[in-house]
Amino acid sequence: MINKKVKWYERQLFTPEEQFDRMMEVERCKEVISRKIYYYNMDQRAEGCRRCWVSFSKNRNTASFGSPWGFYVGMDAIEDYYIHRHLENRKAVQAEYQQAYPNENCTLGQGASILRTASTPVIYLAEDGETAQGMWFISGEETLGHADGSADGYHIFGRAGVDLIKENDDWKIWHWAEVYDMVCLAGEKVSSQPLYPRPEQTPFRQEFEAGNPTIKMITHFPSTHSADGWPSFPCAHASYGPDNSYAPEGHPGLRDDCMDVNWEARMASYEAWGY
Amino acid sequence: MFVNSHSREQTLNRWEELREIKNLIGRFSMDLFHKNEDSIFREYWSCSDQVCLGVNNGWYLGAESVASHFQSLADRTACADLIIRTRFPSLTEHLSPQEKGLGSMDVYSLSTDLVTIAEDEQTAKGMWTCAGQKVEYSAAGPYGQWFFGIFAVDFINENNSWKIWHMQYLEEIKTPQGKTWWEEAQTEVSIPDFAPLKSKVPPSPDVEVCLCEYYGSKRPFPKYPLPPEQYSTFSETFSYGFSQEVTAK
Repeated sequence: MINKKVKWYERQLFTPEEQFDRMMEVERCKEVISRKIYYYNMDQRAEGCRRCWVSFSKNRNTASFGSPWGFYVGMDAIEDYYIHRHLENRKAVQAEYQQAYPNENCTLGQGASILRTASTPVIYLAEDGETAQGMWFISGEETLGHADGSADGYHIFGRAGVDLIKENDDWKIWHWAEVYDMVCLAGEKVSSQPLYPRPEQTPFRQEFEAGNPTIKMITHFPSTHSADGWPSFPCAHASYGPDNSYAPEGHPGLRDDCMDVNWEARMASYEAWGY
Repeated sequence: MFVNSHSREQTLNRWEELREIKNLIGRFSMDLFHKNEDSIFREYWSCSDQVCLGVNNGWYLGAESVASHFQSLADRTACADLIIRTRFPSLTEHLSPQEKGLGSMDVYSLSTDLVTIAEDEQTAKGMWTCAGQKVEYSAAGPYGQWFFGIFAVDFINENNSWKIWHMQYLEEIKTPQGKTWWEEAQTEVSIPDFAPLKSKVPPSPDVEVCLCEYYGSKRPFPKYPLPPEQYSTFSETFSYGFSQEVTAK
């Protein structure tokens, strides 16, 4: 039904040639996301930012990276967290390994593993063709080793909502909002995971404490999956609008036209119901 | 993929080629699932002399070698099927002799596709992530595995049909379900009925080299193949195939 509506919508507004062009633009958007994931998997975050994220000044200033613990706003803040803080973390782990194995050359990323995927895309190109909005599953695994031989490895089930914008005819990531619906320690039963994982129970607990996002907030409760409305499902639209974006302004807890959602109250209410 | 200098008709043709490539890899994955390993090389691979398959522990070079790798998978499936039919006759006697992969399942779930067709449309490059699971048999009996890996593939256009030319399938993690992926593997105790499976393993690669080390907590960060980039003709891009220079490092 949704497909029929979109087809009707597109046919009303665009000639077949224009529909074809728009279809190709959607394919190009998919490529950007795939490339971004591959650079993430290769731990080449700086290159991924350079290739896949916005570069025009006005877009850099309004770019955002949404994480479960808040939003980083502006490419400076995003790069500070996504690249530099990550690099510092890698260096700290490298130092641990070097101390444990002084006769070996321990390298950045030692003991780490990343394999995330981008699948099941739902993408809408704005009528004006200047922006696009999409959602993907970004599931996979991430593992961080320790010098004592142990490791923290997780199956990760997550989603990303992405606003893309055209810069010089290239599609670039403008706003990225990722959430995790389930994070399960490798080797443990899913049923043994906490029903309502608090931030400190997730592999990203350090980030909740010290990630220093521009806007600090819990953006998504895994227990509610998509019921808390974030990231919201993309839909056909005329042009970009912040209220329906994956920028902070689009979050139901921050939108001017939405009731302010008290995340702690939501958590308390579920616990009171005995779930 | 889509260079803006193309006409709409050219772009449409290239998109159709792209779809054929993605369908080819999808069918390849599905044939692994359906245990049609004995037909995979014939169906999907190029007849070129330079075909090669890179796996974690090395390279299979040339048609005979690559085909033998997939044939060994088929032989293993046939051996396991015979064991299951023998061990559980009342459960299997109604099955036709052609039914394969009894009680086993290989799911190579492919996503994050990134595919580029050369401007000359003679070759293409593609990369996919793979998050999968296996249920199959070893000498210790049935077992389940999670695995995570990537496919990096060069394709070649032969008689207007796309074929696999060079393939790297590199597994990052392969672990029994219910286990972590950094624990030492435990010694398996053979079950006599399943003992014939011990010898049913792929042949050793022609060039034994570590293309990708399975995860271990002390392992350096792996060097994956680079994602494909737009290119004009194959001589102007890098190959996902065997390279003596790279291997000699």
